[in-house]
Amino acid sequence: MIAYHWTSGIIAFVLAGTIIWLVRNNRLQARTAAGWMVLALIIAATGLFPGMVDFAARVLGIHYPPTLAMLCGFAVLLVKLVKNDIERSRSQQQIRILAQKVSHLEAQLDDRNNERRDTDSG
Amino acid sequence: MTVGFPMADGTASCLVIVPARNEAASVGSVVRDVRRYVDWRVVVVDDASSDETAAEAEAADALVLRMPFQVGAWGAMQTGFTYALRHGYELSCTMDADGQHPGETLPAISAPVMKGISDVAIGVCPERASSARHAAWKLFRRMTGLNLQDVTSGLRAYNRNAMEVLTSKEAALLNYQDVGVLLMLREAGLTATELKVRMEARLNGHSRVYDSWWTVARYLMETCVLSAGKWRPSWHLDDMFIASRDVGGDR
Repeated sequence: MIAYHWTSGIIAFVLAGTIIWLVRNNRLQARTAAGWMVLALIIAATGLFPGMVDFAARVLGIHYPPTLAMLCGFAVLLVKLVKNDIERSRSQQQIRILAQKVSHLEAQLDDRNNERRDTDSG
Repeated sequence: MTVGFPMADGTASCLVIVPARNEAASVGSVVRDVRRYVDWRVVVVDDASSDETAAEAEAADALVLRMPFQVGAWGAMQTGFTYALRHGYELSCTMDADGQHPGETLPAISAPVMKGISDVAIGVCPERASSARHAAWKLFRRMTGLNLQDVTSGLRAYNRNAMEVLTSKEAALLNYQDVGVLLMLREAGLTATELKVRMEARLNGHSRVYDSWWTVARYLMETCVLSAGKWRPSWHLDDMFIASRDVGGDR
């Protein structure tokens, strides 16, 4: 059986490596990547200092410390999901605004072309 | 798409790009200041301002490109580059709308690019920055091997090659005109010149990046992740990116 901090360290390392790789290949914005790197640091820290989780659990009155780690994990996922939805809503909104704007511009362009054709033939 | 290079008088056709968001108080005087020194077209990219930025810019006889929603300073800048490329401009100069970049510096900034010494020219004013900002620049220099004094200066000149690189799909992932942009230019094999210029205090407001501890921390983290992601072993071996330097004094 390997020590807990190895497991945690490997997870953090793989997460950080993947994020760096995605940034390198222009697949992920630095802004988003920064958040994931912070998460990788936290995972690495809990692996290196497992006492941290135990201490926090004691302070918060949780008898079985790993529950706290799980709970925090769920909380992070939940926040991330909500943030994703907010982002997606904003993207949708922007796409709609763009579509409207493009259609207006197209109509304007058509109008102008028609006017030019009329003056040319007239 | 009628403007060619070189023009009859031997100079390049140049566009001045000024990204602006809620800069109604200063954008008009910035445009008029440019006009005092150069006879170039000025494009103000209005990043969905809620004030009279667009009207003020138009009153000063600038062409205004209005963004339908906020795209950020870099997104606005890219819009300016696309305009320059589509209309055949050989050169573009970028400057801030808050009045810290004097129009009189534009001929000096554009000269190295116009003469073909380098693809990009960057106006720097190291005395202006706080010690905290100097520390940040030093960190970025260490991480990226970019041997530049000021990696965040918004006073720059770009030629067509540079503008083409910076309007690529990959460049749309960036958020600021700083380290990420410079790394992208270096990766494309382009070169830069650094020039020392005089800068003014901002007429109004403050830096969009350095305005609170939270944004500073986020900016530092983002730039570190970006630098780490783009790292190449060859970075620290040579200084191919710098074509010439005129910053007066040592570093």
